[in-house]
Amino acid sequence: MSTFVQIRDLQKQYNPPTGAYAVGEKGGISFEIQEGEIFSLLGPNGAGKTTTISMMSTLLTPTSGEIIIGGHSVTKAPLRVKELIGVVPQDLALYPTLSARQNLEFFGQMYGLSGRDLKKRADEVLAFIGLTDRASDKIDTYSGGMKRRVNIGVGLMHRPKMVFLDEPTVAIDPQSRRNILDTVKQLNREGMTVLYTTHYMEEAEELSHRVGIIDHGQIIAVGTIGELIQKVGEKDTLIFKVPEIPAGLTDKLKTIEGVLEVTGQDGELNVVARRGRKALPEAIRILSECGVALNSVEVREPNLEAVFLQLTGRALRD
Amino acid sequence: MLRKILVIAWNGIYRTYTDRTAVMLMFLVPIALSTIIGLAFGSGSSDIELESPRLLVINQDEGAALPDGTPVQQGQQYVDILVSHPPQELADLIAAESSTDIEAARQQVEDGDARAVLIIPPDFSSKVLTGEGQIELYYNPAAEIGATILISVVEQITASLNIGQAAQDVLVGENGYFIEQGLANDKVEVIGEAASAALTPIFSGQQVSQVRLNSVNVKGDVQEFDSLRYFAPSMAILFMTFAMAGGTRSILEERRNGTLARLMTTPTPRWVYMLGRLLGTYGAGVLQMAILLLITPLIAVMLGREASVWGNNYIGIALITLAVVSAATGLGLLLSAFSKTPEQADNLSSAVLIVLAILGGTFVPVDGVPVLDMIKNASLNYWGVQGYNDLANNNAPLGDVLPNIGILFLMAAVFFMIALWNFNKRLDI
Repeated sequence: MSTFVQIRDLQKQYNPPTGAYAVGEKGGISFEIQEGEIFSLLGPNGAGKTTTISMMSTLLTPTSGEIIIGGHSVTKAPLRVKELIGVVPQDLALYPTLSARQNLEFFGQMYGLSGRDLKKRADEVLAFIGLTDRASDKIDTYSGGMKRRVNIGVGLMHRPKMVFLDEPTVAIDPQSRRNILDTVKQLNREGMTVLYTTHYMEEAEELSHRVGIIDHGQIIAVGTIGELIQKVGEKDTLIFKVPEIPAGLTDKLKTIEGVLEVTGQDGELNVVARRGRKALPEAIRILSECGVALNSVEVREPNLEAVFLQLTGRALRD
Repeated sequence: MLRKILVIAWNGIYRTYTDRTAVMLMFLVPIALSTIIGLAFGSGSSDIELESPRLLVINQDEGAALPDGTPVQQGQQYVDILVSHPPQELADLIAAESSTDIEAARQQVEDGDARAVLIIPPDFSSKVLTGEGQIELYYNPAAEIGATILISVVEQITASLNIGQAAQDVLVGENGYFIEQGLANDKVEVIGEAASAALTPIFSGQQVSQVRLNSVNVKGDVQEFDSLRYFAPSMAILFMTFAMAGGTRSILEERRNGTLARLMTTPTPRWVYMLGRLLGTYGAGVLQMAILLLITPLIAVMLGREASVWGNNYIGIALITLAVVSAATGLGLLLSAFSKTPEQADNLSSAVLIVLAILGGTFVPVDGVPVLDMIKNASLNYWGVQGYNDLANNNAPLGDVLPNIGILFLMAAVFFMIALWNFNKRLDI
């Protein structure tokens, strides 16, 4: 895969030179996105995701640094960049009194489509987002999920090489969310590079080839999910719910190969191991030998939530 | 880029004309209001205080002699009543003075320094004796009320001279509309009585033939007045200005609902967007005026009035329309440019547009009304209504309304420049 997006030392300061920084206060941010990958920017609300995506989509001018997309500088050749990207904003950006088709065709014309190509592409997009049957209905009459789908469809009208999706699943029902996640995967399967911002760890984990974790306007880690987890150490936790914890049980559990730490309190035993699933049978055997009835067991493997917690000292949703 | 400009313009026009509320405000309300006001004036009951209109009297009458040799000076009777010994009621109502230079007097009327000139020709007395007496009242129809008062006064005096004759030969006809139908009816009656009383002793026992009053406006045409000719354009312009403010306000709405930002992520420069939106707003305004131009004659016919509400100078009408919509679009953009939210633009527009409408004589003509007579020039409504009225009432040639057209386009240019300068500063996404 070749590099499609290069971001170097990017900073955005509001009302320079004295204003606050939205991005890059402690030093400009840098990362790359490879052609054909889904890259997620994961971070809590206010972390700087939308500001970053706004600079990448030419809406905001960086205070310093450089953004190259498809070989073109965002600041020096914005029109060329705009032809390569499709932007799906976080909030719905549609004309509510127009139909889905009219919205698609209007924005399609803004991308230079016309005539048969415009009609054909609108049909394709309507089919892709599953709204062919409702194409002539006004957006006003759509459900929240349907509006979200049209919002995405508008960004796809000109067959962009890359699409920016800024928190597209905020405030929608689970079924619509699932539909949107499947849509993103489908787009990627068709070869589209995707930049996806979210504060939902599960979405980033499900979709992304690589993730950039952003907090307080700084990129604090970039990599595949495996690489990020490795950064904080690959430790699993076995959590046993038991009626009681007899004396000596924790010491016996510590003898299992790969177990690093055992703590027990209030009917819950936490066993930290390098490979939790490997240690699990032996742990159950010891519990049984000690006559401890087992109410439940959970294997908690490291995830992005844990990574974020470890890197920032707070949970993603704090 | 031209294609994109047209697409954005059409997007604006389409959204405007598919909005039922907007369509109602653009068409139904102005039509209904001008119809209602027209009907209300037809049954009339209002009263407006006016400053005394100035009348210049030029008596060139050389006199004549009756068959028994008695000399008569028919023209002098007008001078006596109007200038030398006017009844108090008449003196309170008009300011008449003698003059001798016809051209200078006419110029004063055209310049607005006088409302009318009464010209009594040299052979007036002798013509009166043969039943062909004619006098001429030269007035400025733009000064509706002042001129109408004078027409009515002269009409009353002339009627007094025409003993036993009805006033149907007096050509002022409906020009007396405001007076007779509502503005100063009581005063007219008093004047008529005073004039008759003053003239009766002079003509008592004499057989005086009919005198014909030619009412001539500054364009040299006999004027016919219809209230719809005033209120149709004034209401159309008023509601068009609101529609234009609404159209330009959509830029603020687009900024808030995110479609502006989305458009800016497409390969569409900001100037293309602005031009497209303005063209759309302008096109919607021209279309609105065009539809009203077509519908109001039908309303006039239904009310039993003349169909030619706007006159027959189609090029003049078209240019006035383009100019007044330009000025309104510019003003709308200016109001939006100085507002942060659509709601703020709404409030600002309502206040400014109503004030300008009042100043411009949208609801009541302001010619001759103290203070308003001066500041009306700041209102695009005034220049638009006056232009349409000139075309409708006088069949004025294009040259006569060119100043109105020029001033309106100038207003538009100034509004656009200030608005775009300010918008460009603060149209951040």
